[in-house]
Amino acid sequence: MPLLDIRNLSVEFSTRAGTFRAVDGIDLTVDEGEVLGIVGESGSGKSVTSLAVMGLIANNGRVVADRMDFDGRDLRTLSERQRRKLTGKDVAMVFQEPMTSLNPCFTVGFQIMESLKVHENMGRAQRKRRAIELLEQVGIPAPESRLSSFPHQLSGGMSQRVMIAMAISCNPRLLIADEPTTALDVTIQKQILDLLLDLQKDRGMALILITHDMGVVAETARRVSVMYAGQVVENRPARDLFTHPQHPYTGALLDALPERAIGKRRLPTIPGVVPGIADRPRGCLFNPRCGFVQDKCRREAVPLFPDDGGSARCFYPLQVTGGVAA
Amino acid sequence: MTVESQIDAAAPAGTPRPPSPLGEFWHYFAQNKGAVAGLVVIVIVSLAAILADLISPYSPIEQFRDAILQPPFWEEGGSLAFPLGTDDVGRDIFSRIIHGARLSLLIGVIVVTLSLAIGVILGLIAGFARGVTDVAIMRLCDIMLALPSLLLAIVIVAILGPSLTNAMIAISLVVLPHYTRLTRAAVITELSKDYVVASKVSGAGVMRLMFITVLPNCTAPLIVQATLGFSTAILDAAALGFLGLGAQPPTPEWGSMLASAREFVSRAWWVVTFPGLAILITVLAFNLLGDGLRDALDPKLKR
Amino acid sequence: MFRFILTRFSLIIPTFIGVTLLTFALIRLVPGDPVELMAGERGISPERHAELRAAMGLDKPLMVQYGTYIADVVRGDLGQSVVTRTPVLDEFLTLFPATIELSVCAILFAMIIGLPLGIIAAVKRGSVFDHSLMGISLTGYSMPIFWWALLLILLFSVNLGWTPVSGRISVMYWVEPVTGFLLIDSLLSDEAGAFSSALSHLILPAIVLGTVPLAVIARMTRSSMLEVLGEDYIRTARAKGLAPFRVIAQHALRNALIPVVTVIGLQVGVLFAGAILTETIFAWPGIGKWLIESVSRRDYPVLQGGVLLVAAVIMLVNLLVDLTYGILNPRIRHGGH
Repeated sequence: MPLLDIRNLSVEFSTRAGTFRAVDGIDLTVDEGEVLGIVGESGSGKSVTSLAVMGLIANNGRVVADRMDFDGRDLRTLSERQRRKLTGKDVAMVFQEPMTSLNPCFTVGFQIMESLKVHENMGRAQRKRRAIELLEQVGIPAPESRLSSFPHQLSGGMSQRVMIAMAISCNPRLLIADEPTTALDVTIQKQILDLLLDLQKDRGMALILITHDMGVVAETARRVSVMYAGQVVENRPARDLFTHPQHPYTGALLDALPERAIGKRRLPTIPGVVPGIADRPRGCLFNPRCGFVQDKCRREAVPLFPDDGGSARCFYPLQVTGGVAA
Repeated sequence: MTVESQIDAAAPAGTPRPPSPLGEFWHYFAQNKGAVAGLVVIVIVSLAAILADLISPYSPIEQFRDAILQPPFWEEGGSLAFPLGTDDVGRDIFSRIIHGARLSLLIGVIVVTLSLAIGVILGLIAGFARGVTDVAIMRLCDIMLALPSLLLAIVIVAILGPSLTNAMIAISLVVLPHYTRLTRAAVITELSKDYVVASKVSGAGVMRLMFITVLPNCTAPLIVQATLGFSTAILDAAALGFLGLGAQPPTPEWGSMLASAREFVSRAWWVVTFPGLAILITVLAFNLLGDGLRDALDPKLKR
Repeated sequence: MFRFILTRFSLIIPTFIGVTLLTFALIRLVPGDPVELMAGERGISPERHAELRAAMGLDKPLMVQYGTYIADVVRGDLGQSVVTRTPVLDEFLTLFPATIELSVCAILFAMIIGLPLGIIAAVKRGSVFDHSLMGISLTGYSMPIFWWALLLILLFSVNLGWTPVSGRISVMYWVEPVTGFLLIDSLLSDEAGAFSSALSHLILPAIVLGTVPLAVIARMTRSSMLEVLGEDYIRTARAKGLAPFRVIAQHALRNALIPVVTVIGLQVGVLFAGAILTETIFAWPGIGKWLIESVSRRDYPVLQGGVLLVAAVIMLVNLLVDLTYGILNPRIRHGGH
């Protein structure tokens, strides 16, 4: 039984301009102790998916799914109170912007100990000891003195370490990291990523790593889902994805990796942007930006076609020689 | 060929023409029902003020000695001859309120014009001159803002003597620092921008820079502040009138009407109710309009 | 923190000096002869005039006169009332507690009602409650409070007979002034019923005076709360599995209060302007009524000293607000950036 099992999840937001479907019928499974990568550009619905799993979609959003199980429990039928007992304890999340994700009015110690207070039955002294331990684990020097620091006294990398300490404080079984390194300096990015992977291995927790950076996925994930405009367009083990991408979007993302462009005059890019609320195309959602587009792609919506080892949402999947890896 | 058709020919077919700035402004403004309601009320009050002599049944100071403290028409003892009743010396309250609208709007116009003109010029000077002049002007503003506006107005009226004119001067002086601060802040932000530097480099004089290059770019906050300034002016003038330091009887100013009606609170509710209601509705209308303008003019809220 | 206080304090000194210039000029600008105004005597003989003029130092250059004035102010000598012949400072100190009592009750009333309403409106943004609260609060903000006072008197005192029309306490009671605050003094005294009399006298004026601040606080709380609720750290707090109440009451409110405190502080000036009107209408023996009477009695030393003292009090309160701001906002307290 997978730890997280989601079938046909959709999230819709009602705005003044109409209903906007940010996530459109996606399936996700994560096994215990597994690392799943979710890749896609900004606006592809990655973050909304993770917020839906956390139960943090705002009031103007509607979440529907055929199945949404965590550890065999149906998340759709839980009361809000029961749901909150999972959130922050068994499922935890690290966000993209560490500098704004910590409350500026409270000390680091308070914010870490708060989760412990809510979810774990611990005394004051015990909570403090645990908080120091956690700060040590995420590699913060002099953790005792850091407890009384305020967020504005920390650097971006430090803040993200604190966020991670907060997230793992109640020993979650699933950690969702939503672009955890995007807002950080390049030198810090690697450190934070290594920290996350070390913690994942040591604790055997499952990790969903959301990113727009194919390079990050290559180093970390075992399985990868590629998202585009609210849909999953390709599922594949990481190894195969990099050598044999089937969806043209995946191919284009890989081509845009700087290390793959060595020897070329310029770095290939994907023209255009992810369609928004007003400009969703007919047929395949990627067709206006696709280099291999056919008439059928403009007419018919594409289902997810299973193939050996994965699946791709494309009528004309790329061949290995299909101009991508060459 | 007309200019219009040339533009049409130049524009690619099918693209909607970008809305004019005014049209765009109206689009945002009209979404705010409160602001539109405020505008409607202001138009009605302005019409009443302009046409006061035609609309009002009587002169505001004409006394009907046989109809003293007559209630409004729907109460027992009231008549349609005096729709909102009469006051303690038999003057028609309806006529007095209509003429009061004329005074209140006049107060608003004069106070806003005076304070806006002087305040903006001081702000421009402070922003452009910087240094000692700037410090001196801003310190002066600080001092004026350190005192409650009504108290400062009272002090000024005490120096000048109580009258409607002096009350208007006092209120203009009291609200002036707001415009100065606003203009100065805007000028300092604008001055650092490239287009001003460009204009300076191409040899524009200080006056040209002040009034043609920089000032038009800080009009939005000034328009909002001026609209809200109307409500402050009307409210403060009424307060001074109520305290006996503004318009003097028998002038039909709303605040002084209330002052003379105070002793009849227990006997004739209408002499107290209607002038105050007139103040409230007018002030509320200007505040609604000001809020609406702020939302429509504030680029931060635009998509 | 100490340096923070010191910088703030040094900033208000030039403003205070400016206010002394204003009050110094006041008595020389009002219509009438300064000698007669200050002496409170009319139609005096030329010899007496010259004598007084020399005694008051009015024959000296303006700079010297100003120096003397400042020296007097620093010593606490603000002249004496030409009507009652008592020192201005003494009169101020006797009446000031009444104004504080009224203002504190008014601002408490405004906060106790305004903060929760603003929070609820923000949480239920776009709801009928939100829209009606915003409409009502803009009406409150536009309220001519002298009229509002008359309406409330008409309803509660005249028609319903629930509250007295004016004064601080019924003449039946005599309460020993210990603190100057009648609510407290009446509790300390043995007089049965004194407290409820004081309270019933206070309710209407406090509501009238608190109306505009209430509207401002409710609106400010709402907009500040709305802004904070959209912040990333609120999402973090919810991701911890905290109950919605805790997220709002602790994580959001603490941040939302920072600008609200500033606004409440700025209400001190508004409150004082309102106190002038409220005290006049309810015959409340405080500073506002005292100042208005000084104008109508042409008691200019009282106006001069009173204005200076009011300005000083307001500046001090604003300083206190700045300090509270520092306590609420760790970024300022720790001098970080």
